[in-house]
Amino acid sequence: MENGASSYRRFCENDDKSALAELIKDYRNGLMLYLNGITGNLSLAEEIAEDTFVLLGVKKPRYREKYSFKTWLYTIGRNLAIDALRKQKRHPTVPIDEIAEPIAEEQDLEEAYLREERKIALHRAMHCLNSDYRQVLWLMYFEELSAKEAAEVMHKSVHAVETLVYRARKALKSQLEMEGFHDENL
Amino acid sequence: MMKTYDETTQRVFQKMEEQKMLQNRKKQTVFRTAAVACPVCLVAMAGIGIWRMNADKPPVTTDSLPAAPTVTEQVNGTDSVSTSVSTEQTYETPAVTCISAPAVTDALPQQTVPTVSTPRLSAVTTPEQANNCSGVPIMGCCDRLLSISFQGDVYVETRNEVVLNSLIPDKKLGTIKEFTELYGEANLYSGLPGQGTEASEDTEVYSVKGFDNVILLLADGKQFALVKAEVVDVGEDVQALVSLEIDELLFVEMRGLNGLQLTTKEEIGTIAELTASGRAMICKGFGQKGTVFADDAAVYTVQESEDMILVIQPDGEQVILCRP
Repeated sequence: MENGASSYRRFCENDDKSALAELIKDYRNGLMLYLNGITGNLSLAEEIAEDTFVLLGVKKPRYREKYSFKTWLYTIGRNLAIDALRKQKRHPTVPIDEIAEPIAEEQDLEEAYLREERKIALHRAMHCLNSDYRQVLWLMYFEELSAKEAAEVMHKSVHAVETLVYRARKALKSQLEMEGFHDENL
Repeated sequence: MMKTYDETTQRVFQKMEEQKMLQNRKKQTVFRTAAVACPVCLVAMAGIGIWRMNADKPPVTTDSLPAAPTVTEQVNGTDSVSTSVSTEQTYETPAVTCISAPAVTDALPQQTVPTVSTPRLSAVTTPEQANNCSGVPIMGCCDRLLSISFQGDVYVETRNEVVLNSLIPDKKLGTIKEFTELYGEANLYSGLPGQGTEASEDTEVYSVKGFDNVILLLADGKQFALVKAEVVDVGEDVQALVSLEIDELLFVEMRGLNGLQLTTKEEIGTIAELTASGRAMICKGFGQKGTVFADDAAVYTVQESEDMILVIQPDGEQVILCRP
């Protein structure tokens, strides 16, 4: 997936819109699921994911290859999500159609992105965890980022992320046990 | 309903277009505002600049100004030049008498005249003065140098090195700024640009040991003296004391320096001899307030400075005259 960086460079240098379309295709679902872990609202996550790509398209922020493109993109998305949550806190509005948001859509997205049955079950169990646990587990076990990269996305120290992932795993384990899911590898 | 990939892509591009348009509109608004605001700001800045330039100059009111004299010179012969001055202002007590007028000096056509509240040495030539003194502006040079007026007295800068070297600062009276704050009528005149010493508001003012009529100003390590000009009110304006012009050099009486010990160098002659031979010309101040020189008063150069002369009256009284 590291062609994300080259696609972005192509878009920035040549204003190649197909390159941006490629980025949207490659990263949209993962970003949405990650943002859903932060916001707890798929519509909002979808909106923020769109805004993330719009920001790349309009402002063309400079990408430094210190971290992977995904890490960088998720960091931007997370920042936008936090802004959106703050805005929502100041002006709380809940559209009627969002109240009855069909869980089926999220499930479709999970299935389309995660594919593996085991991962899907784990992701669903993660809904009961708090936002930070959801984020760190998603980044490290679903997006397969390193602790350093996850720390960069979450604006935390590596040590804090390691502690967080340990606790998140513990919480997930007890959640799965409560649901009657037993696995020695947990 | 969740969007498909194509819908998302389309929406992203649509949002991008909207934002770019918004940015362009903002830019245009900024440019339009700047195009209007910049000339206005420039004009305002220029206005403030002009206003500040004028604020630095001493106030001049037309009420207190005598009519500006028009000086015309007519050459009557090889040796004499007569100058006629016309002005609407009339003076009640003209008291200028000239003993002889062989020398030719240029009259200053126009000088800035201070307001009544701050009496100051003037360079305006009156008709009488012009008729009797070939239009020589008495102490006109002083107007061009630094002067300070407060409590009705005018102190005029002197650049005479002897004077400066012999003066020792005594007590600090304050700064120019304090003066202007303490005494509402205190005013600082910088003289004409480039000619008078420039004193700022932070310039320190000292009294001088043994000289009540002299003040010293210290600025940037430099010392310059201001001697109280003994001015005489004539109507609305002020004029100076007696002046003596010898060999086309103007020396003005400075009573503020009386008490300064000078050593005579060479006798030039007596007043009678000098005036009779045409070498000298005496202009008395208005109201006869200047020292009256006796005919046999002797005029000496002094060792201390070429810019000073000493007139010793028959009774031993010494009168110091300086080049302004």
